[in-house]
Amino acid sequence: MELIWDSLRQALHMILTADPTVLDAGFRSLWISAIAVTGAGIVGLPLGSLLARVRFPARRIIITLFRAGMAVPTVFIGLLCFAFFERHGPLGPYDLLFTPGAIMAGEFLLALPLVVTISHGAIAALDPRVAETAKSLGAGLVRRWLTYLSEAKTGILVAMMTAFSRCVTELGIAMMVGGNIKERTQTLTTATALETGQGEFARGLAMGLILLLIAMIVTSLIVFLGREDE
Amino acid sequence: MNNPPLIQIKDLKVVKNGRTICSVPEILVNEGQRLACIGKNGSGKSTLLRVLAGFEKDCLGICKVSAPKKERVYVHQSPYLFRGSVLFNVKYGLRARRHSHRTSEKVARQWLEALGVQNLAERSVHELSGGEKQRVALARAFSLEPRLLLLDEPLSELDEPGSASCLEAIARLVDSTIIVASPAPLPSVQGLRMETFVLEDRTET
Amino acid sequence: MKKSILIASFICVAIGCHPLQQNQPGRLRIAVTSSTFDSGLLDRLIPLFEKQHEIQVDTIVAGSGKALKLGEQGNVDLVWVHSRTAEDKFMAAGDGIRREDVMYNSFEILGPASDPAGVRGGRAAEALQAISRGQHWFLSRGDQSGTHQRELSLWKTVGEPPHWKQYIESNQGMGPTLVMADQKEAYVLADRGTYLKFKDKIELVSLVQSPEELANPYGILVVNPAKHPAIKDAFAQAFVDFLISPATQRLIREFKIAGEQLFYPLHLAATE
Repeated sequence: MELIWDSLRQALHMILTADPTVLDAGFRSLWISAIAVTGAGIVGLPLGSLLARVRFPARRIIITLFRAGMAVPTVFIGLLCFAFFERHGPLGPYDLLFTPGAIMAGEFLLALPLVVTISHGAIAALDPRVAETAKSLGAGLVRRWLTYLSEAKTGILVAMMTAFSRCVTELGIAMMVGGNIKERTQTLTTATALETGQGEFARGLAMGLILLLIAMIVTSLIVFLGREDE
Repeated sequence: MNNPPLIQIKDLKVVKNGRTICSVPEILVNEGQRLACIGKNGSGKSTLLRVLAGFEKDCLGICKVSAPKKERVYVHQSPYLFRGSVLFNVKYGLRARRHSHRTSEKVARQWLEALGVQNLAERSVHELSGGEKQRVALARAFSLEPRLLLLDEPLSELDEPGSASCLEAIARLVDSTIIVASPAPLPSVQGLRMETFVLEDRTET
Repeated sequence: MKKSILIASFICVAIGCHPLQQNQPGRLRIAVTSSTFDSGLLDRLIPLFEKQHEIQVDTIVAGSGKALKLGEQGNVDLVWVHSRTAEDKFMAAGDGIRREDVMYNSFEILGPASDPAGVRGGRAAEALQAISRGQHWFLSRGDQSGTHQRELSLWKTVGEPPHWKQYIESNQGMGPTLVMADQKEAYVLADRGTYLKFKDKIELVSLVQSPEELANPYGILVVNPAKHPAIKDAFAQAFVDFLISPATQRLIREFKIAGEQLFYPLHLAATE
């Protein structure tokens, strides 16, 4: 119990004094995950629409694969990315190992199955009148697609929030391909791991609480932006 | 008139799950004609309109519509309005046809006025009553002045004055071929000459 | 409309503030072991080097085994570990072009104050033997780190490979291993630096300090640029020179945790 009180005190102290480690790591967690999830949205939302609305031979298989992809451990993705980015891997010459870009790539792969699967579900569940009305009014492919996304907005927002939460709290990828280099690739999760590894449990817990706070703020922001017209 | 008919139907049958839900022996509709398709509930009139719109793929018999799908506009019995404002909805088809924001808005407001709901332009669709929704949906369709207009029970939620203004608005679409499905004959309105086709119940129960 | 602008600007700010930062020219990557890193010695030395040479140093923490592997793959420019046999193998395989002794500290066997195996004050190998015979709890690193390899070589001298129910491999760094050992009131082989750091967090005490058996030398190795052309061997050599220079060696000697000297420099004559 004392550990929990201690960590709450530490968390407050970190916020009030704008602890530089927490600030640096927290901001980094935020923007790395934000870009990764945005990328996953740009690729995943059209994909989800496609799977929901177009019938083609491999459709069932692809949907199943993405669903399975939601359950991949982050360590696995981290290892996969490591193999690609390391010096003698296929992307070695681009010198991406131990950079934020590598973490971004890994988190993109983490977020993509989530975005595809959830948006697919949301769009497939749309009232059939949506497509009929859009087509009947003469909307072209892009306009129809934007309409589906707008009509399935709640589901899409859930997809993005879920993906962001998963990315900002993951450890395996940031550790493996980021290397937890201070002020370069240290995220809030790897910083927490470092603190607990050094026995600083209260500090570690405190960082975890702050991470939770960040996640809460971002998801609230997403909901707020989505609620604009309600 | 030597133009071929816009719509040619012969021995049309639509079967779903083993049941015949629509059966029409023959219909010929010429360009510019207005047809009221009367039938009881379940007689297949909605299905007929859906076939003409191109939504039903499994139909037997002959069904030829000389207009491409893009030129056919269909309004559901219970229409679906997109998230957003009334104006956004009515502009939808116009914007899809690449009209500018200004032109789309102008035309949209004209048709909202024709249907008596111009004051709803800035409202959000979820605030509307059933009758208001229907009129907005009609404005949305009418503003496109389509070659073929298919209306499924357009007056179902409207009261008498509402129905009257709706029919007057329809009358303004002089170049459109219009088919209306209705459970009962439509009131007659100045300038709107509608022919009646009774859909006898040949469906299986 | 408003919403998309908000989102777009957030993204732009995010991207603008932090470019992807690929491995820029003036950067050096060193793989160090957790015992070196956790001691805090690097926080003292690295800023000095960075200022003197205008090179940015990225430290990646890994056990000796993994650190050497990273060097072998060419993913780091320098490896600073404490695992002599593995280091020699590394050099013999041509994965490194230069190796220097840097410093040494010592291992100690920690355990519960009650010392059920009765190893206090004795020799290291016999202590392990007594612990295994008595089937007492023992925490091993199990991760091919320098500490783990020293433990294994001790087991070899008494001829018994570790193999009883209370022998646990943590597969983690020294810190977490000490915490586990503390929770289980187990014996554990630890480097003095990490022990000093954790002294007030755990209840284990130091029972065996046998300098001849438990000296722990650290070496620094430059990864072979012939095998991996992207290696910054010039910077790496500069760092090694820095590390074995008398000034730095003196700093290493003066580095203290809780008032105690931790590391003993290997490149300093007695008079310096």
